[in-house]
Amino acid sequence: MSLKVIVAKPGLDGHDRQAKIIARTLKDHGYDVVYTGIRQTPSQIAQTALQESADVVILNCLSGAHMELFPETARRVRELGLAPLIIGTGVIPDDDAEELVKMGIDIVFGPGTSPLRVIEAIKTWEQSRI
Amino acid sequence: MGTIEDLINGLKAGSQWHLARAINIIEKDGPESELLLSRIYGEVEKFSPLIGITGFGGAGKSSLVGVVAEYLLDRGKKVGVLAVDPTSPRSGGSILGDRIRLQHLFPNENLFFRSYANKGAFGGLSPVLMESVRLLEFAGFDYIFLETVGIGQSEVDISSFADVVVLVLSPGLGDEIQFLKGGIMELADVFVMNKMDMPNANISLAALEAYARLLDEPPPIIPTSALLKENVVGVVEAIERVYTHKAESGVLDKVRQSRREVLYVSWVEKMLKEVIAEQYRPDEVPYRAAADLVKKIRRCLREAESH
Repeated sequence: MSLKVIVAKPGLDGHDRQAKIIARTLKDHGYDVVYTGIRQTPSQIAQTALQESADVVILNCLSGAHMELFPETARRVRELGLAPLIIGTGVIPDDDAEELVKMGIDIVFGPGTSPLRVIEAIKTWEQSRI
Repeated sequence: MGTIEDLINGLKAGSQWHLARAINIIEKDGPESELLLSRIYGEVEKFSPLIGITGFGGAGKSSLVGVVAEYLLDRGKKVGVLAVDPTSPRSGGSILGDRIRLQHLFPNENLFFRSYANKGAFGGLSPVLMESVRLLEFAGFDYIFLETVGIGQSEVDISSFADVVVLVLSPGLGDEIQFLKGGIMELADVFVMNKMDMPNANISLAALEAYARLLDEPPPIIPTSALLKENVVGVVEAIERVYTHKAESGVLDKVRQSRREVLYVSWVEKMLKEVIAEQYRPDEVPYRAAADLVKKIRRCLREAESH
């Protein structure tokens, strides 16, 4: 069975080309991808992860609001008793990335990352899970 | 996490967490799956109106389900939506994009949406999807919508499983000749002409009405616009009318009785597929190889029965 991945855009940022490229790359590598679309609240994303039994949740934010939205989304997802791999992506400075990992985001990828690295990260996580 | 008993109790209480978990167990197809299904089938059967939504890709199936679900949620109903999208024939992955049309309705305790990849079950319904319907019925949903992958002309399985089949059409997708062809046009209970906000939509509506006049029992034709939320009530009322009519005439009982058989055949196909593929010999004539295999299976069955 393919892993199920949610690609979600929390907050008011309306630019979703990056999220779509990530979604398509995942599809091309055999993953089942649910894309939520733009302007999602943390609780919408959490309920989506629950209803879809997501193995992985990928958050994408280009607006700079990641320090508020990513940890809040991760908190709500885990509050529901779910334990997916949570990946943060978008325009995220290195300092923020370190901070986000401390705040409960499993892996953070900043600007210029190849979507293939997201795939690698998921594969590594999958192997460690078995 | 938890036992099958916890899962059953959670399902009965209508917990979304337990529902998602139960579907996940059946998807994974491990030993827990058989336990759970045996337990579910041991319970008294419960039925919810099951509405199949079918139609060409891009006709607006998901958007229509979105506005209909919103209408029902506003009236205090519990709504479940199961939606199928195609698996990539190249990678085996998928983009499950139906959910996006309803996402604005969340968070919502009365709405459950689950996306499925068709995994090669072209046009038809996978057994996992069909068992999910039973789980939702068990969890007490007032309405269940089953949205098929948008292939169009050959989706006949849905009519042997759903209580009411709604065919979503949109302007410009075909003239009267398309409507005359065999297939889903003959099996739908309700025709919805969506996107009536588009220019010249009335011409397509007229063509559909002309086609319907040739039928002995023409299904209701509902013009609507999911985009503008126009005539959503017309769709809901048409579904209700067909449902009541089928319930009173006994058709509904027959459809529901046949679900078990549809599921049995569907599971057999899924489980046997791998075994059969293993038996393949590339140097044999395909017809011959298939006939030999079936002969072998029949012999095994006879021997098993005589013991």
